[in-house]
Amino acid sequence: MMNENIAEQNANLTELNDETLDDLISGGAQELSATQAWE
Amino acid sequence: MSTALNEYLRLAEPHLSPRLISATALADLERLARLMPPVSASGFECRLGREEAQADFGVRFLASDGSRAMLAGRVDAGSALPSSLFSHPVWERLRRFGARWDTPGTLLEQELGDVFLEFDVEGTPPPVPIPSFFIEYDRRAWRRLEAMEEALALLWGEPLAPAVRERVVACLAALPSGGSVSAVGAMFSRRFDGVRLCLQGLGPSTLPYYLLRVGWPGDPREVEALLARVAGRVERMALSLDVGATVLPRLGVECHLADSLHEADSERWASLLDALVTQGLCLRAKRDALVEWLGHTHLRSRPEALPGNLRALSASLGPKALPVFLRRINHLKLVLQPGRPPEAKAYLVLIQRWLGHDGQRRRYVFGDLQEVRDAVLG
Repeated sequence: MMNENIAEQNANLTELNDETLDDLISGGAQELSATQAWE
Repeated sequence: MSTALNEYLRLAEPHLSPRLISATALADLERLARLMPPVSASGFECRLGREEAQADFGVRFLASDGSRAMLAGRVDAGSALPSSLFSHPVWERLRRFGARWDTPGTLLEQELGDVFLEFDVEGTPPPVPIPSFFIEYDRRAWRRLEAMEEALALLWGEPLAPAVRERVVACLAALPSGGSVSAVGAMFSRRFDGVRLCLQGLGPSTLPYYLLRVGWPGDPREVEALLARVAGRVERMALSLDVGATVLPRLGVECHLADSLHEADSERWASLLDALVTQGLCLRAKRDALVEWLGHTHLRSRPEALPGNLRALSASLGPKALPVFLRRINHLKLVLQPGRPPEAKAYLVLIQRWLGHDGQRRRYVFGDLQEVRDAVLG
């Protein structure tokens, strides 16, 4: 799920349902820098 | 150290199959992790074609999670590495290196993105464990040879031998357009007096010819056959090459899927691992355990179970930010030693990141602590 598809954004992450939270963590949120470990 | 890396490891343990890392081996890793700071990326190297369930342990130090400051021994680092480590000359040198790297305006500060320490873990670790090290260039760096030389001189306590330097220069000069060095690894023990060059921007069409050009003492057709095993399933390849006064026969081909590990890519990893199982390079049980590893952990409903450092940060940021742990595969590596069957290894990583809500831009964001704090607090 991408950011723009979330009609009613809830700033309080404790109130998101589990599915939405999982989607955001696993790719749906806007990455501010690439998630890397090492080359 | 108030919070140590073993507290992060504890959160990963339920997802680490004993088929990959046995309970005994995990206990050894945990002992080692007690000596390390809570870095944002750590990982395990597992051999895929053997029954043995042991792993080497990697710890990445970098600026943004405070671990560089800790390595440097900075008084404002907020926490400190165990002083017992610095009774050993290797750790003394690591500290001198860290201090130089942590000094604004130095060549090392400009060029190096992170330093990765890799610990061989076979049995109970000694009180002062001695790792191998990889110095990794920042993605935006010029990748100057001088930075590598300065880092090696500080870490080894002596400069790169002229014959090795000459061969390293030749290997870098022979890189095709788009090829570059991403990291340089070496052993403190100096059992091998050269360095391991990690070279990116090489692929099936350029790698065999590159090996010919640098005088690799093997048959490039063996490499072509190796690359054909994963053809079409890999997004990006990198070469790890051991370089002394000559180029050594053993090499590794890293297989990466994406530049970012935000998404788990479970199906693509499963497909690649399936190919390795079919070719006898990966045990089925290890393939299944690797796929099971992929996922993430958050403790939204049990904040009291967070490691102490994250509990404090989370409380200070409020409900708009959440610390999360990603369980990912960084890459697979195919190791080739001419005349022997190839071997496959997997590099599992545990990455600590933050999810947040940016009220100004009305979006959810994902990044390191500073990035998400800035977005959330606006």
